Amino acid sequence: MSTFRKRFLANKTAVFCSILLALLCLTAVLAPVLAPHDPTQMFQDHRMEGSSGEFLLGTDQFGRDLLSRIIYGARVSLVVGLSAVLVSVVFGTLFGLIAGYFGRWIDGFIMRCMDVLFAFPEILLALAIVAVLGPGTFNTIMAIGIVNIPIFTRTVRGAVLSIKNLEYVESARAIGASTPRILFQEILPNVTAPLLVQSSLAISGAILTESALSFLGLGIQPPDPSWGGMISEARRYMELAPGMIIWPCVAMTVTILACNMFGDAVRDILDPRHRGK
Amino acid sequence: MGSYLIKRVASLIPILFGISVLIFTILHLVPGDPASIMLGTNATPEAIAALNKSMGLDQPLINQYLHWITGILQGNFGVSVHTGEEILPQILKRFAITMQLTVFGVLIGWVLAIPFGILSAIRAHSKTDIVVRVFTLLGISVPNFAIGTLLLLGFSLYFNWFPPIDVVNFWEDPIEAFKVFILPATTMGIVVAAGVMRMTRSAFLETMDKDFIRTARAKGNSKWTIVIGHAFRNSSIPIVTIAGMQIGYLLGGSVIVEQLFSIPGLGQYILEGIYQRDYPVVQGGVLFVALVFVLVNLLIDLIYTWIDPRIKY
Repeated sequence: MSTFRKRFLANKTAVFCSILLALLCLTAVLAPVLAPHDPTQMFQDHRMEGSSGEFLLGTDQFGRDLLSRIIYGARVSLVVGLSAVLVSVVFGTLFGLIAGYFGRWIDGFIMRCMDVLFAFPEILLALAIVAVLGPGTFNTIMAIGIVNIPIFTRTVRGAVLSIKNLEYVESARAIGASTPRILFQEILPNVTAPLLVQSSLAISGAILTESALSFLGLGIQPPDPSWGGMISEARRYMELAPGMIIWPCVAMTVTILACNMFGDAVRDILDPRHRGK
Repeated sequence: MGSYLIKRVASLIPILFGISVLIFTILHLVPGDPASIMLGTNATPEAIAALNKSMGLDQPLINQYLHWITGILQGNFGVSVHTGEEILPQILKRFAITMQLTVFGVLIGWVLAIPFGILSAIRAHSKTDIVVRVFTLLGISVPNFAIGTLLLLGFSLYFNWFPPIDVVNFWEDPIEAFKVFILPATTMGIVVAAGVMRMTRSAFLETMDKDFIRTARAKGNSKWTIVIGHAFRNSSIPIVTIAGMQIGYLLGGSVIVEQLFSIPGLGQYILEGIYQRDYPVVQGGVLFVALVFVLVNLLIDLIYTWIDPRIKY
């Protein structure tokens, strides 16, 4: 791990993006402290105003402070993005371990199921799941989580296949280790590198999908602020108050850009094929 | 090739079966009684019973599935609960619009992506390369609805121009269709271009390092003969792969772009189905898109063998 740390610190993009992401997480955690106003409080006399001393980024059609809503929106995006990836990682890892380790019909069955999930465009499957479960934060997390399970299953299965016949796994088997022990204590620690790369790349996708679902009115429900929802609401007033669209777009772009660049950097550090390029 | 084709098509059967089971289950995972949800809170018990009967919802699950899938195989996707219209003709009509939008978007994307991707690879670390890399990074990081909204905003603020509302068929009135589709297609095109450009750049960088390129150079071929005649075909496998994946994303992404630009395509049809809890429409629409996606992937696999005759299955 110390070589990982050394390589990580030597990679300027990785360091820069992790600082940026840390700041974003801090903003999300400290939202109640940082936000100048309650994100749902309506200042009736200050509707659709430009930036001013009191409302740094202006206000929306109900007179709510845009900056506060964007700060709280960071909370929603990050919570949904991270939780959704967590759901996919947990289930994907489990299925991948089982499929890769046991092989035969179990492998065949699990991988065919994953092929079926792969046969849908991502956003469409998420939409269909939300259509069944109904909108809301928890359901959005579940929908995005389920959609991404196949990527993790494939990643973990591939890694398991390449290491399950190595000597150290065989010796664990020879000393009579139980199957769960072999799976979780011997094999799992050695698939963490591809898992980490995949997770860091998946977070930006999850945030994108969340904002798209919220944009369509099927993700996070008003009055809770979410960047996708804010852009969707702002469309009707776009000529009167362009800031209502531009600021959430900026916030979202910075977040997703940071996640993407961080993911790429982690891949460059961990994947030997990308090293030195 | 023939036996590969048969094998490849046969491998689709379990997948198609899985897709149909998954979509069928969607309706039956709805918490509560689907008929009363679809009809809303004011529905009479008789109406609910009638809908249950007409959709066969009072039958055992396995019978319902068999009934549904036999219908689908015979081209009967059922009727919309909301409008009472046959679903398949609607899907086909709206898919034609979505296809026009997608093809237009893909064209814009490729025309941008391939030349600039190649240029940025053969002039790595130049100014062009930096511009291309910033563009690709932004293109994959800004959501398509944000790009579309900003385009709409820009055109209305600075040019005072909005796309026409009535959608026309490209074959009937190309100029009007161009006006309708240009902004949504550009929205899609930017996203497509970012992905394809990124892949083109990395594929070309890799190919230009190969020995056969050095040989071609040593023989005194000009730079562009090498790029077009030697490197292009050898770099095209990953480019085709990403292009194929993107067609799937576009079919899904069309839901958002169509909603944003009020284009009555298949994506909007599915979305209307979701908003109105018209589950047969949602089922039919999602099934249709999944089928198209599977067929596109099949086509991509076949294109591989055509691009690279060394690939044998």
